[in-house]
Amino acid sequence: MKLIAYTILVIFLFTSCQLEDEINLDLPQSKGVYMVECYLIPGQPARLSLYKTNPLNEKMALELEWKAQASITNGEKEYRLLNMLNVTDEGYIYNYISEDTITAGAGYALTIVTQEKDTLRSYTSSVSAAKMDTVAISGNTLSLSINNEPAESYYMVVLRKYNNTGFKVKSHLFALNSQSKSFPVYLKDNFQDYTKVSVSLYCITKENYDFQQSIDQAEGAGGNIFNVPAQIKSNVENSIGIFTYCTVDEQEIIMIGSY
Amino acid sequence: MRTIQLISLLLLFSVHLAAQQISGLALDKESKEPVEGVTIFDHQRSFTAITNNQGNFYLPVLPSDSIEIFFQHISYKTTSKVIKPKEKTIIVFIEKKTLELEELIVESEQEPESLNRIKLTPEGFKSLPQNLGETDLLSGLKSQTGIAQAGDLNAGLFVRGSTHSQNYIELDGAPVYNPHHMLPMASVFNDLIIKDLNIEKAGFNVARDGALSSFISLSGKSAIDSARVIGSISLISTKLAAGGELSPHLRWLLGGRTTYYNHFANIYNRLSKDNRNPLPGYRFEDLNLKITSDFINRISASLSAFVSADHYNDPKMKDLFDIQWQNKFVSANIDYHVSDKSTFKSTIGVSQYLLDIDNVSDSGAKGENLFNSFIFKNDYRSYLGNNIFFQTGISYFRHQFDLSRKSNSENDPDRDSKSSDRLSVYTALEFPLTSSINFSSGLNINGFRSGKTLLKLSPRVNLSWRMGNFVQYISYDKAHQFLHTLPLINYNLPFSLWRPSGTEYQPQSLDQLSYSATFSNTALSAGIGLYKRWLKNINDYKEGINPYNIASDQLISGNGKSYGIECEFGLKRTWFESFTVSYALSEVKHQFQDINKGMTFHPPFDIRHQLNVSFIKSLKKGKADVSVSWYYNSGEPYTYPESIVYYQGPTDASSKPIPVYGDRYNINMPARHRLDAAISFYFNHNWGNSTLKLGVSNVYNQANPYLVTFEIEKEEDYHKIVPVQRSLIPLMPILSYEFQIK
Repeated sequence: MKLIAYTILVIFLFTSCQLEDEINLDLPQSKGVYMVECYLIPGQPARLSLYKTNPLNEKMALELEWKAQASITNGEKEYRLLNMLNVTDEGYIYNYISEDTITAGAGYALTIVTQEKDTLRSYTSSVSAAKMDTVAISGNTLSLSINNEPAESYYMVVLRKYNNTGFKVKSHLFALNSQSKSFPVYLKDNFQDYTKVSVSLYCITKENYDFQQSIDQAEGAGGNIFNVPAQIKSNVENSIGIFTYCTVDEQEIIMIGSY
Repeated sequence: MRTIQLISLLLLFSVHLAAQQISGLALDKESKEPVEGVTIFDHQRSFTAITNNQGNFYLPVLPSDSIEIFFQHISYKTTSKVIKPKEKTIIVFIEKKTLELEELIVESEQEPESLNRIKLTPEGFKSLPQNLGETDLLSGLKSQTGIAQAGDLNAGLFVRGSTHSQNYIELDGAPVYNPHHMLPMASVFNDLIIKDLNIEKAGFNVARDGALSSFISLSGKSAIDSARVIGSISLISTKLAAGGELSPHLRWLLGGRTTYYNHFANIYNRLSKDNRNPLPGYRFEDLNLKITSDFINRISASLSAFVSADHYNDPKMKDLFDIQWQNKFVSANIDYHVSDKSTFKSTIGVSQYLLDIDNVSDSGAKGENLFNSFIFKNDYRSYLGNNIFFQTGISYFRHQFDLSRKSNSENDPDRDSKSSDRLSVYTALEFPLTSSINFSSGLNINGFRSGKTLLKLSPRVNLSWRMGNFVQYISYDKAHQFLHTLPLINYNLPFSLWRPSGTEYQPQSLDQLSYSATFSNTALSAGIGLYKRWLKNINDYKEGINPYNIASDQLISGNGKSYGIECEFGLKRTWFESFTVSYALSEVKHQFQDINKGMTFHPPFDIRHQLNVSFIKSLKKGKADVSVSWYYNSGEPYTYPESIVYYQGPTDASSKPIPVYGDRYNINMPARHRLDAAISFYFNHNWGNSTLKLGVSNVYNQANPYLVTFEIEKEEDYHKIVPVQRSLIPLMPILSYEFQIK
């Protein structure tokens, strides 16, 4: 039986044509559109990335947009964003930064006037901070509980894992919609090889949650018949992207025993 | 309860009537299948009768002496039988004439059929190079005009610009929801036990409702050919069927099938351990059982049972993606012949579809969809006088929909249960307007309840005009569909979840105008059809849904139109045994408020051109034949990203390219075409006979895409995004061996 199976398999392999190949597609004409990413965290300066998307069949490059007039207002307070390229140690690129740090407020409005005189606008409300009470990892589940009850119910959990030399290996990001004060987070990887895990809990806006969900779906739909193509849910006028406020609380866990 | 009482009364009445006449049944000597159109005559008394489609006939009471009756049919040897005066029931077995070219030609001199209705038998497809050697009537429909295929992975049937879930498919009277398999080459049902398939694209019988696009009815055999066991081995599966007699009037048939793709995939994955793209695991099995009683006292009955189970898992996602689905049904059919002009048919059955999905990923879910159906149908047909045909009946469908879903971080699943009831009452009348023009009209009244009660009327009107071998049909159909499929995934694979109309969704409706003209004689057949369809409350997926959220609010509704022209041409008395060319030109437009800013768009089953060519040539005086088939389908609309963005994210740099999707269905897939060829050899043995089919699928190695994705390609000093197509079927061998053991 095995011999027959191998023989047929060899016939299949021998006769196989190129099942994955480049093709010419009659693609609809499209031009790059603006992409904005700006996450306001109290106590930190506002960092904003402004660039353009890459139309298909063109060179891939980070098309940063320069010389735009960008500002954020919070009531009477105005944060002017300076146009300068910054690359963090972790490789994060942003091309606009405020001189002042963000202070807590009710809501923030973003206005960008690009070099091409396009005006991009957005608004985000603030979210209250959540403090982690207990954090524990058991098997593939991270259990979190919070000691206050923020009005929002959208969270993001970031895990940074360190190996024995203290080097950060990987981070995980989860956007959650939980109505409860304690909730489990499913972890894809096990933590057997790591000794220290840093857990950051972000309280995020619904717009941010929807944006990240749609990013995940759009990414998953590329080349996967099991997913549905999804448009990116943005909250920036005349652009795609996100302008949002979030708060963060961080704790470290030392993994012991079998972990 | 009243319905049961009514049936009982009718049954009692029929037994009384049966005493006044002699009833009989004409069966094929080899296959034990009923034979339609057998003329029964008696030279002494000069009476004649003709068997109906169940093989039944009726004779007046005999004189006191024995009498010899003759049975004549164009494809069978004339047989006679002496009947004694006390005999009330007659069963006669008639023997087929030797199959020669002349018989083939004469047999095809039947009345030309409308392009609206197609009948297929496995025999008509056995020689064709289908599915790597697997005979499949449902796949065979894709070679018929107006029925398109959308890619090698897509098993769905797209009839006249409608989607696959708008077809109603039944086997032996029981509906089978999501009957397809994931392996596109595998036949949907075990062809060894299938007798025939009928599809109605327009001119719907008044009893039909509950689907928008087409009604596909498969009938299982009641017995296999003279052999006790028949079997088939192909590259896809091994099939077996066995039959016999439980008593002189009771026959059984059991068929089973298993696939072995899984073994090949396992070996391939073992051989290439470092392969980053291992083959997914997939297998399915099915089993059919049918018990049939012959015609006794004007009643024939059958019990049919079916179970199939499919299992798919993706090793790329190691234990993360696992889907199983099952179809089961049991149905009982009773045919009661009230008289030689009246038939009463009753069907009762239960059907179940079960989907179990286990997708352990960030956005994944574990879930189960259980869809149970109970069906009860009664249909009465009668000729009133010589030319007036009357049909009436009632059908009842109860559906139970159970969804349970839990995300990976939840312990208790969300449960969502619904039920629906549909009661359908119908009646139709057909009568001649002139000697050549027939008119029929009917009305199907649907009462539907699920959360709220709906009443929908589906009128039908047909006009046919016959001038010798040239027949024209005009029909108007209205139909309603009360079941909606949720897009568990973006592709038409057999994972759709079903939900009822009611509080969530409005029933979908169809208005169709159809014209068909056909001509047929001994040398050729030709047909042309025109249609236009207006569709309301049809569905598409909601923007931004997570398909793995087994939730019920994933659909939006809109309207649509489709229209087209269908042509078919066939040669009979030529160098070929058969030669057929068919072409369809169609266009589908949808308009949804929430898709593409409310503009009209072409949905993913808008396949503009379909061309099919096939022929069979007999060799060695019928000991072998060569068959060739070729198809061309223009590409269907597809959603492709407009641009790519480097998303950085809110925390550490996790920069990754994300496709930016704009309008839905914004590009057309490349056209598809494929040539398949096979040669079949027929052998006679002491123990029975066998057929060996050898051939090649995709002769010129055409890479037909089932998916177009994009990849980032590195050039010398920059990266570039390039579209990449993925194909499924390369040049492949066709190999099958079928045998019949006496």
